[in-house]
Amino acid sequence: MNKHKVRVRVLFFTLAAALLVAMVAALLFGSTKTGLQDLLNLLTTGGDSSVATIIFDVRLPRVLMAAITGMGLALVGAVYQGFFRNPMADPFMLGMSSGAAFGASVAIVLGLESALFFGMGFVSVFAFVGAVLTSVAVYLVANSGYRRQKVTILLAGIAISFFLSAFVSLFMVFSHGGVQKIVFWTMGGLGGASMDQVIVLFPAVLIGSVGLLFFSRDLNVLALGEDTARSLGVEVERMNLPVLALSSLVIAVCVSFTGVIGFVGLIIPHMIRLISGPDHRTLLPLSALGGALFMVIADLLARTVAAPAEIPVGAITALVGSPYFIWLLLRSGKGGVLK
Amino acid sequence: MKKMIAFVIVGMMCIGLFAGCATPAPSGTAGAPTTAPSAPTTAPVKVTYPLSMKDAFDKNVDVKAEPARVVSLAPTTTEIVFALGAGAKLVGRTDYCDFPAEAAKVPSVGEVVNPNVETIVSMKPDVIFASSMTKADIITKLRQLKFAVYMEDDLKGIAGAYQSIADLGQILNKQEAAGGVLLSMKNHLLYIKGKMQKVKARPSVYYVVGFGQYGDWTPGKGTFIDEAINLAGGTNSGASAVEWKFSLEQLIKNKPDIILCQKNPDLKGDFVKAEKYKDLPAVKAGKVYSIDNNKLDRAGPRIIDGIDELSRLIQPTLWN
Repeated sequence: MNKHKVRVRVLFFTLAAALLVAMVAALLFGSTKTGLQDLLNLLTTGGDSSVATIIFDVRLPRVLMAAITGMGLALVGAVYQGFFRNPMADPFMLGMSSGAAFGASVAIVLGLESALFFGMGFVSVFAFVGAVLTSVAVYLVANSGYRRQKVTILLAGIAISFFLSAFVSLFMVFSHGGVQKIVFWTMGGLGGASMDQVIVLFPAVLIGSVGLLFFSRDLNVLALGEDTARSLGVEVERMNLPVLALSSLVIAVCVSFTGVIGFVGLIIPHMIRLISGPDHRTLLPLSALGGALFMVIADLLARTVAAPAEIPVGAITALVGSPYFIWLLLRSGKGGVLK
Repeated sequence: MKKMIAFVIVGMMCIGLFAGCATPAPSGTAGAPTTAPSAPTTAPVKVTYPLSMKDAFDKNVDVKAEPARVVSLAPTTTEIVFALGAGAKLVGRTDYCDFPAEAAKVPSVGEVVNPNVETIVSMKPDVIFASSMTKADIITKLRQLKFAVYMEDDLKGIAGAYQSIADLGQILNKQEAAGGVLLSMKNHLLYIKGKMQKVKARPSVYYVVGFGQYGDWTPGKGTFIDEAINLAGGTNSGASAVEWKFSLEQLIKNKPDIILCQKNPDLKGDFVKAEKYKDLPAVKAGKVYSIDNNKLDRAGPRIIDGIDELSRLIQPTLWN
């Protein structure tokens, strides 16, 4: 077995093990001192009922949601980076963050927040619909554009993103009471996580992720350039719809529950690529694992570092992500990862 | 015939006696949903548990027994809990709960908008008081964890304050205290209104919530502070504001007689020195005052004190 394959295997097992450890640790640490001792007491002597509530009803859904959304965001980030052949691609580049924020703002301004809908608040549902409609709009605009090029998709995404962000600003101006809530929603957070939500989130992300994994080989060939890929039998234009649809499903469902959490989709694929190389057949699953691990740790930090204050998860990921990204850019000058 | 009439008269007297003797139905009977009294002029009765009532947003609040541990997620409800004499029951409050001073000794559960669910759970509250400022998904999560959550509405002004105080008095079995607080508030308001009967001239008042490069913000018509300014003997110079948004041009054009600046955070110092603002006639005449906006922003026990403070600034001659 060559060195590269060994490295990939080691990385896979390390990430899987680290994820497991992180998830267990995240269950045992939080804003209160409830920890391993309390859990053991609970299991043996039937201790304190609030311990069970804290570990299983408060922390567990958060940890699961962090892992699942981290997985989805990183995987889609890796897919987009290959699909658009752009190392700075992230899951929100097609305006889905603006679409989700638009949907959420509508719900907040209309005062629909506390209404319930399959365990999800109206804000989540509207955010999901907003995100999905945005990708549909982007796809339709790009499809009627010049030769269905990738560039057209990107430009459509940017234009629609600005348009919807403008509406969100208008909502904030015309609804004095809604401003704070809209801002907090956009910053992202897993405070309201519950098992009902995880039950909706997990299948959606799973289906989308598994579907995207089937495009690994096509993405590898696409890296050689669209024309080359076409001549090698990859149906470049026909990839657009399924890849965008599956990615949109994953991102829309993640963002509707957690708000906009940046940098996971951007930096995790790069970090994985440094070790395992650009082969999407390993890059995609490893990014998923890495993303899950990163989010579990970020959420743990968000709720413990300044407890009882909750730092938005998006702030933690950006605080970690930005310096790393700058470092990557500096490295690229010396012939680093960015081509 | 005469016997019949006598019979009827005696019968009616008996019915009258019976009606007078009957105890008024207790307002907290088991399981029956209670309508919270809009203005408790009824004598305070013993609250019975389990208690079921609707909060300011029409959501059910089910309290199984008299609460011994209370978590407050809003400065308004913290003030009410202490005003009712139930401060000892408060086991959790937010970082912004700054009144009364005793609240500082209670552990914090985080911010108002995004409090920490785990910390709240660890405090084992019997009831949680919140306002609409807290994120909806956190409230939903708390309700899903089977906590009784009562949400008050800070936007309903005086009526909202009375409602919250009455409801919390009922939940905490402090109805006598609630009655006392409400009575004193109503008397205070009558006193202020009495003084305002003698108003001769109503100065125009501009209430500064924000100014400068981030825009001019003032309460417009329809907001509680607009109503408060009118109650306090003034007219609201910023009445035409839309969703609290005003313009510097309009402010300069309106030439308000008096300018009131919020104290939390303190705006007066910067306002009187700011370019374009310092040339306003009210600033030049020295008629810019600081006001404790917490009393007016929180629909709680100090709301009438807020109107009192407004009135003393707007109509000082009537208070001498």
